[in-house]
Amino acid sequence: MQFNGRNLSSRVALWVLLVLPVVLVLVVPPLLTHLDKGVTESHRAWNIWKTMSQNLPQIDAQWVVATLFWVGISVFLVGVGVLIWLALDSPSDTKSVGTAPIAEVTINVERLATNETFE
Amino acid sequence: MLPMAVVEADQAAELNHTFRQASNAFFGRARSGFCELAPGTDRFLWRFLAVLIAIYIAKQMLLVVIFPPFSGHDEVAHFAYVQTVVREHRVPELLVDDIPDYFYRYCQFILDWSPCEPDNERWLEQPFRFADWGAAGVFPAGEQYAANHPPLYYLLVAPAFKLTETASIERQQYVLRALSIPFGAIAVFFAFATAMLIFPGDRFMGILVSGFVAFQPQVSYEASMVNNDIAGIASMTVVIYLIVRGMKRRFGLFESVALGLGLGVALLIKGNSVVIMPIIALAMMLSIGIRRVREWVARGAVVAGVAAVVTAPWYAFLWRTYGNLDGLAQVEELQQPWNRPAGAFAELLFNRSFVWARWQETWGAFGWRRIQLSPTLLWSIAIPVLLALVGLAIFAILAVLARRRDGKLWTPSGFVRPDRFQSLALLILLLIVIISYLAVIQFGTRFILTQARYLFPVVSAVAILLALGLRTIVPLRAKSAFQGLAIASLVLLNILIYTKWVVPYWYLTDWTAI
Repeated sequence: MQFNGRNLSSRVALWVLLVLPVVLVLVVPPLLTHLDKGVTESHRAWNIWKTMSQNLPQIDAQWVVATLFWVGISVFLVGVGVLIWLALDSPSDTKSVGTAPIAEVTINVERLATNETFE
Repeated sequence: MLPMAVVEADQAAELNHTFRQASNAFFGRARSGFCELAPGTDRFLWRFLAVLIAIYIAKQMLLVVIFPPFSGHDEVAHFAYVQTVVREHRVPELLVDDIPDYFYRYCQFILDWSPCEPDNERWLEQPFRFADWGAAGVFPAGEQYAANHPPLYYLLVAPAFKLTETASIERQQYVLRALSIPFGAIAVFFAFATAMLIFPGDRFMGILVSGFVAFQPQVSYEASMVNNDIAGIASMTVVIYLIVRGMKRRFGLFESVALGLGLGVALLIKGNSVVIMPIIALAMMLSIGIRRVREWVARGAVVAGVAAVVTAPWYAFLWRTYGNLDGLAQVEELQQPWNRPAGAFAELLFNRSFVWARWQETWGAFGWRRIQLSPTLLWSIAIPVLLALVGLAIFAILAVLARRRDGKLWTPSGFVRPDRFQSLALLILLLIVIISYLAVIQFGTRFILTQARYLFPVVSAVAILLALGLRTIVPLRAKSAFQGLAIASLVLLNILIYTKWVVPYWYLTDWTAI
């Protein structure tokens, strides 16, 4: 499987892109709410998102609010795994490490442009 | 003669080709424009930033709807400001304008409209306008208290207000809340671009800085409510970017004009942007060269001149209306029944409970300080931040040592001595953060309601310094894994805060009775 130009082990991809977001967005929140003693028994909901969507502000544009809510959840769910994977997927690159080398490279490129000897 | 269908196909192909050329030219220019803003950014980082901003927008859409109408800090007052601008074509005035009667139902979220009984039919219909404060006397209630804020944010959102005037107040409020999201995205982008100016192409810095700004819970909260705060954060992030860019190019004419314009816009959005002015002067002196007095005085005059031209009408209005340049004396008069200084300057500087309260507000205290995070979570956040500060101190020490050893210094984290521009830029960012915090303390010597959010406009500087500290202590080999861990932790932090505190508070408990 290829991602971001690199070969991924399918196990890592499965964890980062599928399992992690599901755990973060769909399992952790209801679990926390379920364990929260501050929330009254009758209000404890295994599916916090569903409970919340049912309690969204009762205004005349509820469908707009509900759409924003569910689109937000969906994009967040899909995107969060990709984001974490992109953050993880940074191969060791000497150019990106340290600061001065970058500045030196910039200066050398400028020298090249003025036909100076590049060492 | 060619058949008609062939001619049409040729024309369509030609049109398609022209369109593609135009589109390539447009997107090519746009891409090179972005690349110019953030030098050294490779395809990988652009991809990361694009995904981050997409997720940021989705997250903000959720925040817009999660918080009950008008529950953000001063949301009613800012909304009423927009109403005055659109309906009366003027800026509201302190001690003159009231918050409209309709909003008494949201009195829990309005400063100083007490006693607050939103279920009281009589007061809902005709809210009281004076309140008895006992021995202190009788004072006006329900007054417009955000009127001393500059008008630019309200002018920017006014067209959306006008377009939705047939909708309910609450629906308009959701639309205006959604308009705060682009300001947040601007802050994320320019924080990233500032990091790239100082550390071109550095993935660790790019990922951590943009991730921090996008997932900082209170900065995100600001970007989901009707308030000029997030516009102020965005404009100051741009100003900080322009300072660093100016330093890199030694403040040429273009950079000076751009900075003056940026500063003017920031001052027209939020008055506390004024704290950055001495830092701009210092940045110019240090980067141009202290001895080159003529040069930095001339460029400084350009920055100050452009900013003065942009802001002159507003300051003339303030002077004519209030007799001062910030309206704070009138705010003080408005808050007379209950306001007191939080303490003396030196006292607040070393006061542990003051510092802890600011730390609480930095990460929690949603819904007008109703929702407080637990000390355990706040300490869990403090630990990596303290580690980053230690890393920053180590970076400074290593930089001095490396200077003595002619730049040759090996560390497991791959430290390389910063060049002159980088050192100066980091020093300026540090000073920006320190001065902004001192301004929060200074405000507290006059107002009990000083708050950590006055520090948020410098979130990009904070993010760069913390990311640099972490980069100094994280070993080279572990950097990629650390980046993933940091972003996952920031995501988890948001999910924790919203699912353990925020959502249960608003939706699973009867908060109106609290």
